[in-house]
Amino acid sequence: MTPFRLVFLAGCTATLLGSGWLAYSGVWGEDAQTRAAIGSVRAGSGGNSFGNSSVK
Amino acid sequence: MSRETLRAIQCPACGAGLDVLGGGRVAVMVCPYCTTELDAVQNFAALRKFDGLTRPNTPFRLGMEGEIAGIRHQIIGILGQVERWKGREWHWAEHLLYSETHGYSWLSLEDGHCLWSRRIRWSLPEQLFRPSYVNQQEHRPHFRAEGRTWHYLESTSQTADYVEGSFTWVPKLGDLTTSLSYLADGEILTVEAGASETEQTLTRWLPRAEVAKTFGIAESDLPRPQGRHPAEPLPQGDDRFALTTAGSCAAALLLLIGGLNAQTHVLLPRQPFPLSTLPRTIDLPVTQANRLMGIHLDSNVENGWHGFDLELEDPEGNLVFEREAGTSYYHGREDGEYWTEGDRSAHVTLRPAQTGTYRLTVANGGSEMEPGEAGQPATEVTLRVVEGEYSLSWILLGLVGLLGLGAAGPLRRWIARKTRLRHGDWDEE
Amino acid sequence: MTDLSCPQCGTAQAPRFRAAKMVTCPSCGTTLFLEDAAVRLAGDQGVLHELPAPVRLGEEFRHGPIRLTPLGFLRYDYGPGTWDEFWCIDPKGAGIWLSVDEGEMVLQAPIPQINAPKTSPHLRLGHQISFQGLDWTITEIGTAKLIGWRGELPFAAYLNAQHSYLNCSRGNRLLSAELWPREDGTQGSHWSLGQWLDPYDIRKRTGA
Repeated sequence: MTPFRLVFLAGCTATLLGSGWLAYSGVWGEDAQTRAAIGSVRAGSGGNSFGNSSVK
Repeated sequence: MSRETLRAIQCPACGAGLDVLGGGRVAVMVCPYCTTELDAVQNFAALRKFDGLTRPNTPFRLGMEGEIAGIRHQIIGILGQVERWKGREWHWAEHLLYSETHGYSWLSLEDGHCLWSRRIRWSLPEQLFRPSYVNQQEHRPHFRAEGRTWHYLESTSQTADYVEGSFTWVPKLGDLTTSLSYLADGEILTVEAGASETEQTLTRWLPRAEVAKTFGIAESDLPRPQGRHPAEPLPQGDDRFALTTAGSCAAALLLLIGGLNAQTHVLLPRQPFPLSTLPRTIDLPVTQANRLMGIHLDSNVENGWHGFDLELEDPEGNLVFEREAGTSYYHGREDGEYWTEGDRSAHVTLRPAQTGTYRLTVANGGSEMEPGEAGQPATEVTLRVVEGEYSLSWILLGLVGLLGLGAAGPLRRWIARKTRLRHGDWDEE
Repeated sequence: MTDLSCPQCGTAQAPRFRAAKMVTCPSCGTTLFLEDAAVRLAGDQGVLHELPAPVRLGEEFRHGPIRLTPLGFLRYDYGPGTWDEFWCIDPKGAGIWLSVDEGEMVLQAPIPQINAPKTSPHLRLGHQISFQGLDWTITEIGTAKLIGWRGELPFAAYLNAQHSYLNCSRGNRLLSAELWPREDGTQGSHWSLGQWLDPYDIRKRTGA
């Protein structure tokens, strides 16, 4: 096993496991609007997130 | 073939003992001690003396032997070469090699790089070695010969400024010779435009350490290499290994999609609710905390926008969020072309903090119709809720990454090829 | 094959080339002339050792699509050195000459007399010769003497026989001639068209 092969194998494995894990955990998968709505509930404003959808 | 393999003579000018090197085709010998040229055919009579010569910077000496391409060669002559252009000077040393079985070739030392050149006789497109033809071309000239593609590299006008040892011709100092060279992967093809016959030379780059070792000198005796040489071999990637590895990882990633699909869990199967039944509260028995949960809505709105108010409570009855999710759909015909716009689906994704039964309330949020169009507010909404969702984008990004890794070898070679050609004198302008 | 044996040592001779006219006995090194299935002793004069060369007697070699086995050679002296002419056979048994001179290897196909260039006896270096509609410049001219041989040859050679030669090289081809004065005062000539072989591309047959 040459150093190139080791590094390359490590790179491929890292890409495989990394992207697999990120996909499984759904990192950055929450939508921003819902996150903001949850945030405003926690902040105690009790919502007020209606009406910010864009209307054609 | 020389009749005597090794003879020694005394230089008639300075009396130094000289080994007669090379074969029967040697024409002259230049004494390395007093630079007197001797006639190798006529009993080594002194012909003329070269004065004020400066030996090029080379650790190689006459008589040294080494193996190149598996063949033993001996250094029998040394030439100093210089190219002058626009007030600048480039110097290099050429060593004439002799092998009893394979004849004459050259070992050059150029900017610290070791190069081996030998005469070849190929059928080549002659016009490509005429400077006038090359100068007229708009794009870098290239051709195919002997199974490789050759790209124009440079034209060189050189003069010999130092000479010692044996030569198969009479070396002339100060005479300008012009040659054109073409580059293939790791090889340079040079054609010297002679009066009667074009002499072709094939040059290969040799690893310094190997040359130093076989000729019995230390690598540190060679001048330090300056940059890359165009004839240096291209980076040899382990293409097969790279493609196999990256390919297997990509296949594994595709298989992973199946696995990820299998572990998603439907909390509410796809179910239509007439608008008249809203608001409606649905129990969602969440089993996977901190994983993505997706609430997917579809409406049948026509040429308008229809919104739904969503409210989610956690198992303890606390409000998680309330928000609106809009669906819209517009279509029509313009200049005979059918067009559509908007999205009848809305997706809400979140990460429930705990397991247990969450309560989702869906209410009619109202609609806005496009004036003048045959619009229709939604009459029903279809809901589907899934937990344990995953992000396909990461898988796609991973596949792109693996594709890049697999293509790294060919890409690296492509860049290296371009970089080597830039050493030449071709200007695309 | 007819049973031929060396009159000197009795070793049976089995030339690989059917039309061989001269062989050196592999056992005692004597030269034998083969005449109509008879063997005539020619003595041990002229029998030479092989010098280092990219090819060896009896060993098949390849150069691209070319496959040849050298069976014998003639050695010529041109003054400062010598060159060898190897008599080679291809797998079908056809013979061809291969000239080997300090790494310069030329495969020489004979040009039938009827197609041979017509030349004057007063040729000099740099003169042009017309052949196959092309102009060939004489690049080398000289005198050579046969100083020895070894192996199987297609004709009986005579020690110290002299001839003139000329070479015209053009790209990857070589037009060459052997010239000798005839008894009637005219010039005898034998022309061949050669193809250069790159010694670094010679491959020995493995396991041969």
